[in-house]
Amino acid sequence: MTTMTSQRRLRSLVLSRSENDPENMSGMYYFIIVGHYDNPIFEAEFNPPNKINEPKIDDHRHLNQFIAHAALDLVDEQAWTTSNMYLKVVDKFNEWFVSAFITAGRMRFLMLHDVKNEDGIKNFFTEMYDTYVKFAMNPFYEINTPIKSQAFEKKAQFFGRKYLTG
Amino acid sequence: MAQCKQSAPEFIQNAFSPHIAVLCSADAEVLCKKNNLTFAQLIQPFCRLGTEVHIRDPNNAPHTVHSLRIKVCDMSSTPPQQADVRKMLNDAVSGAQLQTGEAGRCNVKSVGSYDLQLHESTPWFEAYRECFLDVITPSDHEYLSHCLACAFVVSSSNTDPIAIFNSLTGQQLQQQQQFPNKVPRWFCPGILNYYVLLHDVVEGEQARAEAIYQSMKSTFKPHCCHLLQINSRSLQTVENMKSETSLPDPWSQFLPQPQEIQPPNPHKPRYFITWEGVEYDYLQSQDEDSLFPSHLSEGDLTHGQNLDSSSIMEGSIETGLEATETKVSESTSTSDLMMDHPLAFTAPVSLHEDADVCREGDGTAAANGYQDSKSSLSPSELREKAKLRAHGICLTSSDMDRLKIFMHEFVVRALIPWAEHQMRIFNDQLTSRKGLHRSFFSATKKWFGSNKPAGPVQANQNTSVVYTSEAPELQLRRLADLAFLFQMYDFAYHTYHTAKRDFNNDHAWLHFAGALEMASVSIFMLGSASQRQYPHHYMESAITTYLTSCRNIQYATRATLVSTEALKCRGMFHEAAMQFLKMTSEDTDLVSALFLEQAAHCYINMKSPMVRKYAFHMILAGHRFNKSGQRKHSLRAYSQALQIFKGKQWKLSEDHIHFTIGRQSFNLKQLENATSAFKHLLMGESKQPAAQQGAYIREYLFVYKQQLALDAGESCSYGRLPELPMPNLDVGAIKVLLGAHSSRQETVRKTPASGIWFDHDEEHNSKWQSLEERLVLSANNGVMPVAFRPTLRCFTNKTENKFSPATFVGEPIIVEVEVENPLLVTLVLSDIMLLWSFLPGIAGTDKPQLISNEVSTGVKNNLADEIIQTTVVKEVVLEGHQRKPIHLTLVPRQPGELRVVGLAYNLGTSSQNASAGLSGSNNTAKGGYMGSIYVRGKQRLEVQGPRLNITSEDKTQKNYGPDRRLDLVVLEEMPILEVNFCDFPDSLLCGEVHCIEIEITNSGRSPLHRLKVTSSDPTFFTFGSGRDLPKYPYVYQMKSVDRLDTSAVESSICDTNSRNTVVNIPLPNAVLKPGEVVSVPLWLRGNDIGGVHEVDFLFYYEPVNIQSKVRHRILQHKAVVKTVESLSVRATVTKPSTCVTRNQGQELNSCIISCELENLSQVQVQCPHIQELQITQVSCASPRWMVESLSISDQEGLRVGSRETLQLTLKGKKADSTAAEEFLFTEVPFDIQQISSVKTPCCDFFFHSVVHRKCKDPSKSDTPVPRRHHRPPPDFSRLNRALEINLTLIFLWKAFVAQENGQMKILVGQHHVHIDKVNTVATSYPFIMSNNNVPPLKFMRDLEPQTKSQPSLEVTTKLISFSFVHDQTVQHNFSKGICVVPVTLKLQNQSETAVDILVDTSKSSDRLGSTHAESTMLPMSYHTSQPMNSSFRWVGQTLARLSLGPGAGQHVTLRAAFCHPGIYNLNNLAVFVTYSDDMSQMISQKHSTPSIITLNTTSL
Repeated sequence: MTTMTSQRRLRSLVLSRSENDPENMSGMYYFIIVGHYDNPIFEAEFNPPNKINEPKIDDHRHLNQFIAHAALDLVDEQAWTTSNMYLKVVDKFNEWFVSAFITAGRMRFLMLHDVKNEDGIKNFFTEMYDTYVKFAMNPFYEINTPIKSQAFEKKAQFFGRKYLTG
Repeated sequence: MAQCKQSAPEFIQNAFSPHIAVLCSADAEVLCKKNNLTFAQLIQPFCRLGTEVHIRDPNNAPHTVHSLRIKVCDMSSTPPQQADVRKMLNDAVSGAQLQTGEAGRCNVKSVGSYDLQLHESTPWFEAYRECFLDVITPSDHEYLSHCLACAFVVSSSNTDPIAIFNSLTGQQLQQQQQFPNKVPRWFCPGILNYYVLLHDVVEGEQARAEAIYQSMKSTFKPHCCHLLQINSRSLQTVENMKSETSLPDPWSQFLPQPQEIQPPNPHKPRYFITWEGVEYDYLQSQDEDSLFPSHLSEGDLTHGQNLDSSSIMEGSIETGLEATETKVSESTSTSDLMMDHPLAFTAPVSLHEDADVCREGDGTAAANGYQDSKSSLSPSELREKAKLRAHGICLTSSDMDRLKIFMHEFVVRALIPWAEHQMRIFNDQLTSRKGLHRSFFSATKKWFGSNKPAGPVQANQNTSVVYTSEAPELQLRRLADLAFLFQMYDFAYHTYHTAKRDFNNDHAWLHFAGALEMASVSIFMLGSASQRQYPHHYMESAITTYLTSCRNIQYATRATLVSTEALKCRGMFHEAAMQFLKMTSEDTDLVSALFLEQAAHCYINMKSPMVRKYAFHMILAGHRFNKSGQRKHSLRAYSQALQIFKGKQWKLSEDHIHFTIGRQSFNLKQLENATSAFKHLLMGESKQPAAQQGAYIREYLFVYKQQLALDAGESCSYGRLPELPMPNLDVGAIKVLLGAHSSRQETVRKTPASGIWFDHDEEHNSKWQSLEERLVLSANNGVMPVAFRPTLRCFTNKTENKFSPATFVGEPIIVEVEVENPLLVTLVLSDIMLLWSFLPGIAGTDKPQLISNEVSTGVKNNLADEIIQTTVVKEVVLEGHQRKPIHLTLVPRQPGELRVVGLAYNLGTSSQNASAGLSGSNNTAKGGYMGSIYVRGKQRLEVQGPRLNITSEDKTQKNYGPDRRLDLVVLEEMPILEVNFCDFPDSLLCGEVHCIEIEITNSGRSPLHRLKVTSSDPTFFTFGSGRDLPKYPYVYQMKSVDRLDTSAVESSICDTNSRNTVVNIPLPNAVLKPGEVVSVPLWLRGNDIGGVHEVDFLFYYEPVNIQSKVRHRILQHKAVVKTVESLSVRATVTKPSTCVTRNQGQELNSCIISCELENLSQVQVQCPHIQELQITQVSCASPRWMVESLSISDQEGLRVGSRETLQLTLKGKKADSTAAEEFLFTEVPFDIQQISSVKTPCCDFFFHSVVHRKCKDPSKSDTPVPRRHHRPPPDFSRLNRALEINLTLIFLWKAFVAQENGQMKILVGQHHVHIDKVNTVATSYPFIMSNNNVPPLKFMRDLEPQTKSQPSLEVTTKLISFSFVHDQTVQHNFSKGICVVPVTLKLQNQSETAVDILVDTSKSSDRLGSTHAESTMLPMSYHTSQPMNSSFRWVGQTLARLSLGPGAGQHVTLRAAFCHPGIYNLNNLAVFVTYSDDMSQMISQKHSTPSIITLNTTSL
């Protein structure tokens, strides 16, 4: 069950988004890993290369978090119904789709995206899972704490370019 | 979805209740106005029937109607305008608030890891719903809100009531026919007319009323007439009424509140008294009148009189629910609260007449009354006011009963029969038509499932169908509506279903949607009685049709309200949420907000609650509330959402929530809330950009300032500073420094003793501690006092802080606090000071009072400043992410206990960067800082001690020891030593001797004595000894040339160890009085190693009169000296070999000292460098040796240029007899002036170097090796003396140094070369003994060597030195035979033991091995058979045995015989030595120097 409702109407729910035309927003991705206590562990944004120079709309960054956070309910719900790690699109809010991936250790990977890109996101999730598992094996890293690693970020950006925006 | 007061069926029933209209004549209105009510309002509280009534449907089947509610509308009232409607809705929502602190309404729900406090009810939503349903404009497509009946009301006092009735009826008819679209709308042409005769009991005439009533009955239908008697209490009585006025006011719920008389606070709870509340109130009134008679007693009876009456009448309209009776008392209190207005204003009236009653009565009322009576209003005016506000004051409870009876009569007698009748008519009409219809449509019409409602067709398709008002489709709808209104839901459903299909066929979308909606609601209302499932898809499509095809948002909203209620009731929360979300749109913020909130509630009420969806929708709702101006609701919604987001590290979201909460709280004047919300924005790691952070902090400061201003204004608990969140204080890194002056004025000439500063490294503490121990030991004659504790000046997190630091009155305490700016924006801290509390330790006062400086009043602060002088740091600017230490000083003026508790400061931020940039100059920028907004607050300083790790308990738990570095003990005044080094050089040449002066001052107020100093490098300085010290700035003491060359110095003065490490500084009278200054000369000598050297000085002193347990004080000084390489000396001593003088032979008691002097300095440009070194004197200090010059004229001096080497050879001579512990000084001057090397600076440094050398010598230090020896090794030192020289050469020099400015400077200095052994190279440059001679670690015990330890071979072969004395040239006529030359062999014992010597001329030393014991034992006869390899031969005594005492010398006379002329080496014999009694151990002595003899033949 998703919040699939007509896009036109739900647009009105946007918190404080200035009216952007939809084309301008296409191809944006927001990736977040959520820990066991619903705490964000890692965040990354991927913008298409042609928009990278555009000034970021900072006032809306919290909206991404809100949407991702709200989708957790549906992720948790769906986790019981499937044995797949990749849950595809679980939620939708305005133009944002939320895809999810649950690792064996119950870490939740969420991806906000405004274009459909099922395979790319799946690949990205798989690669990030791999990276995450390697990272988590570091004995100095405590599970569920924020990931502060240059290497991890670089990997994420690399896979983002490879599978999402590139 | 939140729980509502009403259940879903109740709500739907109320939403769709029969409407009736009321039309009053003017005189009837007047009667009602006495009660401050209109007629419609008057009857409104009694519109719900408490009893069941019965109705028959068109098929004559009976139905029961439960608690039917009639809605009354006044015909004369005009419908509100669109703008008014919006305002009404807004007011309804904003008026309904949750009472804060009402615990009962808030329950805790745990979902997963979330513990949420939820408000179950959302009264604002219900209020909105009520209001919305009230104001919804009636539409043509349904008849639910159309008036079924009209009540005509005429007063009995009217002259011709019947005529008036007739005219009113006409008026109604006219309106219905001419303005069908005017509100109120009418259900159908033949509505029910009901005639009410209103009779005022007090004013009217009973009999006349009865008469008119009778005539009415005859004129109109009898069951449609009613005589209603009201106003049994006259206005006079009302004025005389006392506490009875506290009767509940059942009307207040139904009336719009007059805005101007709403006091802000007591008004609030009114909104909580919702439907049930009314009933409580009503119940109470009924309870009081529980014995109210069935017959109505007349007059203005008081309650007491009514009590005796009989039971309740059976058919009375019961408005109260039985179940709620238990809550009566509670409701009484609420009603009291509610009723405070009328009470408040009627009380003063009685106040004038009966004061004590008033006093007994409601206290608040009395209070209010006083206030009002003061406000000089005349009683009549008051009465007017009271009239304005109080409702139903003229109505007794019997009047109310009459009203109840009236409503019951109306419904049962008139309305229901009418409805039955009407339904029959409609049904008949339709059945006649239905037969026709049936043929058209299939017989499966009734089949529910197959006929799915045709979905909404294209939106652009217009509803072309326009029905006439009497069209059969609409008649069908009327029938259904009527059935629905009277709770015949099954019948209604079938009818709606039929109608729906008709409308669908006609594409009458509005009608279709309405029918769908109602069909669905009917099924719901049937509840479990129906076999059908609740068809929520009907509702879905109804809403969609309303929205898309009809664009009728109002009705879509209504359908949603009804539908969601039904869905909720069925537990279909998700669907309900979806429907709510569907109705949120861009243009209606209020509705969207309410619906979003309801959706959120739906999510949380699901079987598996969706907490995060709840949070998200709450935030969305909060946002929309904000947009629609509902600040309180917005704040509440955000606060709800915050519960979920709190502490989960969704930083950006949290920031948004906190920021909004802050803003809203501020707007609502909840400054405290706002402050704490903004505070959250500033705490923790922020992900916001700098500009945003800047906005946050400005906002925070602004709000906080307002709050503080407000607090200061209203509360008297000023003085306690609020705690600020920023900047971050590193509490662990707090350093406390005692006794140091923050302002060290370093003049050009004087360098004050550095003491300890914050940059002091704790690792050096042990070093200082050992120095201090050394001093204390020396001060206490080598015994360490039991109570000794090393003095610490700087307390940090690495020091032991178990004990409170002791400080002294008048000495500053400097606390270093490190602050860090967590933000990217610049913070400005100003007026920073320490907060402290102080417990005076003055004896005699009964109880010392705790003093603190945390007060804001100036007077108190001044007082506090007298006790502890507190410095204030004006301003500290912290850039983004900057760390800065702040030094704050306290100077205690009284002994006691001082605790540093916190840091007070003004927190501000820089004003716009732009302005600072524009102004450019520093001044204005600073002004900008100061002018910007700031708040004063504090932060606590509490230091946690180190974690304990001793007991097992400590190890398993987390226990922390105390850390008392901020709890100081202030003791009585002590002397304070200040030391100034005058002209302390920052750079010296290696070995340079420099004289400076130190100034010792006692800046305290009590005398000190026993001044001592020690240093980490004792060779660095000397204070000199002896009386006649050279006058500053002369370095060396000169000596007149005529004095003796050699002088012996008692070395005992330098012998004690303490003398070398601890120096007593002589003081005049042994005491330094306060303020006294003593200057002492001090000589420094540059270290032999070039580079930068740190030298620690530790001064020790004691107060003369000891008051506290602190017995001594210390002063540290760390000097940094750079040394530049100058001279390097290498020296070797060789033993004499050649004969110096012919007659004496070789001087066996002398030696040759060859020195190589090298000027190491380099010529450097623009740097001080040595141009030339001049050796002025070489002195020798040795217990046994003296030095002599080999040349005669040395007076012109020896100069060594840069990078030049000079060879210098001197002769060493053994002194005749010296005591072992004495040093003999001999001097070889190369200058006109001779320096007395025995005198102070020179010999001091020499002694230092000797001691220093001894300390450094690794062989002297304890090594772990000797432990493994079974016995101490035999002492061979006496034997070793044979090679030992033990001589120190002191090279005194002058250096010509070119300074930076090109000027020449002459510096003097000295170098020492210690020569221990013969033939080894000694240097002035000390070798650093590396530790690699430590034996490798072995894990296996190796075998002890069993061999006897023996002195080294090197020593034993050189125990004896010998030389030959003979003529160098001998003339002999060999033709006469062989030549015999007498040779004297001089033997000198170099060792300090007696030795036995065997001189054997038959053996040549070079042919022999070291041990030839057997050969020495050969018989004499063999001598001749010795192979001859030289052409001379020893003759005569060939073997001599003799003993030599220590250092003794002897001659042995030998003869050598030569056969041929030539040059011979006479050194061809063997000398064996034994140092023990064992004669077998003879060791051959090495002596390789040849002794040449030349034999010339003479032909004579």
